[in-house]
Amino acid sequence: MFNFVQIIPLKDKKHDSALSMMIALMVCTILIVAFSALFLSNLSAQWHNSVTHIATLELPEGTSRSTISRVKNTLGNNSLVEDFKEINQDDIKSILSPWIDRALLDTNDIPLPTIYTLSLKSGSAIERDKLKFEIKAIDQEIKLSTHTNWLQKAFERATRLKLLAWGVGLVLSLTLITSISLLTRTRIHLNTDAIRLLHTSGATDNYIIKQFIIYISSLSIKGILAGSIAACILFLALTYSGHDEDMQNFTFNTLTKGDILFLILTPVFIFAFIVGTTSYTVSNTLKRMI
Amino acid sequence: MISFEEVGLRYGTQPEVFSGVNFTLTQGSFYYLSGPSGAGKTSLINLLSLNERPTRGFIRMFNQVIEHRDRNSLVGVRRKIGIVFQDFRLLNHLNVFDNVALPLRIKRTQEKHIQKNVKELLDWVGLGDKMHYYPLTLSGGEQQRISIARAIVSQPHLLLADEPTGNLDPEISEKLMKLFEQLHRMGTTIVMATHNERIIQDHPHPILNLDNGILTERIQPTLSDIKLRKSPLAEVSDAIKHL
Repeated sequence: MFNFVQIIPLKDKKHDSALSMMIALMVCTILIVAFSALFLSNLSAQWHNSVTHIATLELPEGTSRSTISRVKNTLGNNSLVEDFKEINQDDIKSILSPWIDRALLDTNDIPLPTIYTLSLKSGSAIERDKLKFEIKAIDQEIKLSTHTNWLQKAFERATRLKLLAWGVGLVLSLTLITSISLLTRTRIHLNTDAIRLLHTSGATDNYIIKQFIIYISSLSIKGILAGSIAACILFLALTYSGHDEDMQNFTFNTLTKGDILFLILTPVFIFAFIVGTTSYTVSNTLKRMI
Repeated sequence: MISFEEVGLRYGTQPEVFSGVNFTLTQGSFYYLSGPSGAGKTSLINLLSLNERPTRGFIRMFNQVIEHRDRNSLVGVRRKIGIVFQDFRLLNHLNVFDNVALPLRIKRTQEKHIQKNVKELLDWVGLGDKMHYYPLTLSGGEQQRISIARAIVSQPHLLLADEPTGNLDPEISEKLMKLFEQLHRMGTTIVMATHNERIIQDHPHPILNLDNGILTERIQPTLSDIKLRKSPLAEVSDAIKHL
């Protein structure tokens, strides 16, 4: 039977609620930051995997049939090209419609290029350059875009944002640990007489530490649960707002099982950190106090 | 049972509260610790209760040299000591029962034994019907009795009392002294800090007198179970004076 008696008068309704609230806010923020970092990390990795295997070939309007035929032959014979497909004119018009009035496009007065999308096998930069060179040799006006330049920049920016998110998460964790440590010290000093009484009555340091751990744990569990629930609600609200099914599938498909496990375990890590910090702080302060 | 050899204590860089204190306390005896306010009685009680460590000298308690032990290994020694504080030091968020049960809970005594022992003890000190009251709802005398019950519930070998009658009226003080005499007859060693001369006269026991940091002995006619001895340095000093 668990008959724990809180011998040190640590409870303080007003301040306890504030502490639980602070833990809840920190946990919620840490979880959202961790989720953002993981999401961004996986998203950029997905971009990298999907876009590096795609290229676009743009032939200006008026390109002769023989040139188109030579291009097709070159693409068919190149070992890097897995498959290629011409985008039909209607799709090109749809792509251009945000910038050019659709009615004007339908008059066929605007010259439209012929565009091929290429599926590429994994290959080196030299192989990509070789393909570009072969296409340019047919006609200088044909543009082959492999997206690697802008992709590299986007990837670097995503990495920076990801590092920033982890940095914010780390700062928040340190702030939480410092707050718990300060609170513990304050409670020790407010209850010096009770602690001395326990000590004089034969209590070990571990007994006194346990008193603090049980008190801090009860507040932390409340805060961590509230913070985790708030983070889940925010996460679900962001995912399901706007009834965007693609976004919903995308969000859940982007996170791996490992990521989800990490997010579930984050509150457990935070709890362990809080308990560890409390134990260390009480132990150190007791050594100096008595 | 307890011996002090050349014990000195100072707080920080301040002058020593007392120096070269030597005495031996035998088991089952009763000693008063007297002296003017600020003479160091509470500091000596703190040393005896292991709340302070001496800045010099040796303290031996229950066959253990205190200086050679780390903090956690002194827990066993502390559990043999009960303390009655002048300001009671009761935990106001706990009821009378839980306050008295404190040392037993710390020792992880079985709950059925706690229930039995604490109830018996509260009946003995006349608080059996108030075990569910909170300290702040009780009188000073009743609070002092809770403090005493807490100090003796784990049957300590040594009972320290720091000015236990300081906040009590003469009638309750007399009752308290009868309680202490009873505990003494049951074999508990008692050291009671007091400067109440009337109590000392009415209940004669050997006196350790602290004044200006020097501990001297005043043996009253009825009891002489204290072995106070001078430090070797003091003996040399005396010898020089007699030259």
